[in-house]
Amino acid sequence: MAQFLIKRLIGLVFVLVGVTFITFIIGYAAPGDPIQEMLGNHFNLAQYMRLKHSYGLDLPWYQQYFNYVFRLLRGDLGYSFQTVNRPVFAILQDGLPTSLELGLWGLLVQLIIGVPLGILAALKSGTWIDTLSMGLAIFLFAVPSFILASLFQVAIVYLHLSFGVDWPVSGWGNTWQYSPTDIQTKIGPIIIYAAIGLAYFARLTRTSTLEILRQDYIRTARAKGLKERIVIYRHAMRNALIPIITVLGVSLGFLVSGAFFTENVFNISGIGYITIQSIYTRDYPVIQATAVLLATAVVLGNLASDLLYTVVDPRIKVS
Amino acid sequence: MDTHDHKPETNASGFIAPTSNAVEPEFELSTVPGHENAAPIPEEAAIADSAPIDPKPKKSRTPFQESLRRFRRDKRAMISLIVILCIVVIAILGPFIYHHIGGLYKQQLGTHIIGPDVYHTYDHQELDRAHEMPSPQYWLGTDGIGRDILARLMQGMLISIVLAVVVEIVDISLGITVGVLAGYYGGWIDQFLARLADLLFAFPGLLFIILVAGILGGWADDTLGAVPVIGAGGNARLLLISIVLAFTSWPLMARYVRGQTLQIKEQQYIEAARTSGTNDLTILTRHIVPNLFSIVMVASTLNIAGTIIGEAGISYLGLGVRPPGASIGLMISDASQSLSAYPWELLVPSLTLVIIVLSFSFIGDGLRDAFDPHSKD
Amino acid sequence: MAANLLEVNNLKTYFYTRGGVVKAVDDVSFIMKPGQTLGVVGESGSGKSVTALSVMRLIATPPGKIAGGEILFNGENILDKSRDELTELRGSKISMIFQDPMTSLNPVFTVGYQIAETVKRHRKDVSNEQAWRRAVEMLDLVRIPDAKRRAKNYPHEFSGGMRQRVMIAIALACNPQLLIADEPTTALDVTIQAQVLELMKGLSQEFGTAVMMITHDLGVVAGTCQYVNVMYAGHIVESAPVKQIFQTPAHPYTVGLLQSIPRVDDARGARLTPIAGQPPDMVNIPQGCPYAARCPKVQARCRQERPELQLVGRGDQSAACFYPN
Repeated sequence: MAQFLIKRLIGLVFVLVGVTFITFIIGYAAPGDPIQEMLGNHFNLAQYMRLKHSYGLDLPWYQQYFNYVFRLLRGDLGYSFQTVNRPVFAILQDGLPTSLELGLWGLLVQLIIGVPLGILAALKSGTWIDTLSMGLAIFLFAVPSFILASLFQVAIVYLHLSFGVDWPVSGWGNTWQYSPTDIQTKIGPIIIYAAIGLAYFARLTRTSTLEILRQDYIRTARAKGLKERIVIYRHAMRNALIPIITVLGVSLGFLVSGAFFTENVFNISGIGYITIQSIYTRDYPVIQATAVLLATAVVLGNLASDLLYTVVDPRIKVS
Repeated sequence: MDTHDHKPETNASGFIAPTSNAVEPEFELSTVPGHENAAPIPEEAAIADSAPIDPKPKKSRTPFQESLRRFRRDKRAMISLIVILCIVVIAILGPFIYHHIGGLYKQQLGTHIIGPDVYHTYDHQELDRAHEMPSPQYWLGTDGIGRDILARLMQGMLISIVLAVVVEIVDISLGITVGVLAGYYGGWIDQFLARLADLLFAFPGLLFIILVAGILGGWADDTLGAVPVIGAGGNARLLLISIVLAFTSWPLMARYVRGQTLQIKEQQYIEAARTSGTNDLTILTRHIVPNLFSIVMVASTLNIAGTIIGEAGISYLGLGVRPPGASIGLMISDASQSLSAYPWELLVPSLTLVIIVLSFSFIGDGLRDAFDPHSKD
Repeated sequence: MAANLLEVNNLKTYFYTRGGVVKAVDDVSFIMKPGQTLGVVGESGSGKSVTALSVMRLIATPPGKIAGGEILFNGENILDKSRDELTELRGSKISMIFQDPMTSLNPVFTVGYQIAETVKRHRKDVSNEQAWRRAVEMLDLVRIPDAKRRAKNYPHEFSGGMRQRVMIAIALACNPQLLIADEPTTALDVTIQAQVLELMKGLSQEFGTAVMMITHDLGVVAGTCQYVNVMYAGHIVESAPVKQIFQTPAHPYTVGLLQSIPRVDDARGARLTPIAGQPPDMVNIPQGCPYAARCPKVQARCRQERPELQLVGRGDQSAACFYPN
């Protein structure tokens, strides 16, 4: 167990170094001179040199990288190119609560709807319930969220025009607040955001449940005279959920890439929105910071799901 | 503990994601488990079930032919295959035919008289004919600046297909080379692959592509844009994206190949070949690579679905194909500017994308079921 | 004469598959007395496991279905029982252990929990601690050393033989009247097999439990059973006390089975005689005696009509054969 942890932690450090290096080198190699762009028409050499120095851009690349990493370790993400003197940290601080809120709800909806849907499909396998829910899952899995979002918006507009239904088409309302209007605004983005992960979990849960229901120990549980409810929900589910926990890390990937689309389609000013806006304005420090942030989140999420896995599956502790 | 070395599966936010090791069963033998006295089929029944073998013994087939036969019987996959073939034909030949259909048209805003070879091109604007529904002149209507939707759609499909082909060529060749070497020799190349794959999993889905497309996009416009044909017409970033998509997909392919190579390596006949003095190169090319066919085919088909969605997503975000170029993602993005008034313009590219992606997923699933011995149970 | 514990009359269990209807158990009747040990012998596909699962009502439906007959347990027909009544019965009055101990225990629960759970299920007035104590006691009874500590271990921490002991502990935890053992030693090492069989024999005598021992191994039958049913292609072809099966087998199939296993008391150099041919296709069972195609003593009549099980005139021994030995 300890050995496993150490191995994972070493892997984690390696991945984080890789992530920071890739983000740094892409930014470093990027064409164009950001300082020059920053100054625009007010270009003068003295100020150019001063700014270049203050951003540390006059150093050789490896020194820049080390400075970059050390600043990262101190939590210093540098300054935005776009808004002079605005720390990147402050920009992320603006978006992070919203993205966390969206992500948390997205994950919850994925699990709360996806897993039971998969179980239901497995228990009713071969019936129309199975066909319907798995058809839905395949559809949601294949349709990109930006299409779902657009279709959702078309539907809202149509409802508004034909029946006078008033439902917000975009926006997020107040972060971490749940007045009726906030809830109304948030439901759409959350469901569309969660759709792909929901489909993924539903399919995985179905497969895994069917697999488990075929196991000998389920027959043993029935032979012991346990009630069907207990056979399914205690004996089968404890086992069927193990593979679901192992892919929680994967679903984190869905959440991160989904955020770019959901936040942009619905104009939600979270990290995904900030990233895309920074790309439009070539604000490299912000792009780098969000990339490192999101990649770190995914790595930590994977580690967490591995740890959770060892808790749920007793077989892991020994090996 | 290794959660990565499993069957490939694609998803709508792009790229292959590792799934659980549970294999999706095609035929449920013990159905309706919720029933009161359900239990797995007793061994005897299963044996008795398999007892009546084909009444007329046919010529024996190789496992490959057997798999191919199973695949051909998969209706969903076969229909999808036909759909994809149709789309390929339409994307390649469609524009040439469409350029010759329709009469001359006198522009209202200009004074020119133009033929279908002009107004049926994907980048021709007819500003006073914006937002039209399908008509004999514009078969699928026009978009917000009076461009022919059908022409743009065909160009978009072509982009998707070309991109998929380019990415898969890189994906397969790099994936097989590195995967086989890592699986056969192990050592540093195996370590390298493992670390690279770890790194890749930290950049989920589109993050890496967004990062690269975002930062290098401008540079791509300037330099790759100068490349004739492939870089021209707003497609410069497409080149960049296909490089990045290929780069992000091959480590996964290599992992599957590595796993398969490890399995094949343990087979007796490899051992026999080695003891009889066959050199490594012959073993690799004669015995190992041909046996990778099925896993490579399954993984790449499923990866194509991810690639196409990935490109659409990037173009949708405005980081991919740029106007006047056409891409399905770009069309969806254009249409969503005015989606409330003209949902038709959104529906056409969306539906096309969904059909393409679903078809590739179904073909991939069908191939997996047919070629993966695990899915037989 | 004591009342019958189990009385199976004309049981028919069919499986409806794509290939056709598999008559896995066709018209099978037998009885078991309290405390009796009955061996059910046959090769794979003869219907012996399906018979056992039918008694437990654990046949997967679909594709399986009990198509006819009755199964009387203590005089009550199990086939008429509701789902709730059945779960009351299973694990408490009738319990079952399975072939593969490696896969028959739930990997995510401790073995102690899996025993205690059965006790809790069937004894309403038992507290959790009492159930746990009973679990430890049962582990002790099946001779798991250091039972108190081992109860907290997970199945993967036990060897195959130990796991089968745990299965026996689960099965006997509620003092059942009938224990069905479906090939309980097939998956175990030979040395472990004897230990497990001894244990089962000893405990069933101690608990007064009747045992239905399903096996393809005549050696197991010889060592543990009082009475034997020989099954072939879904039918019982011979039914006799164990001694008579080995000394004066009546059905040609039983004779064939006995000739195909090595015996310690055989003269040196005696040859083993395998049974020629294959069991019949269970979907299209030919008319007449199911064994006719392989029988060395086959007559024209055997291919026309199916012989019923009848006494052969040696006490309790009966065979389904027109020309018994």
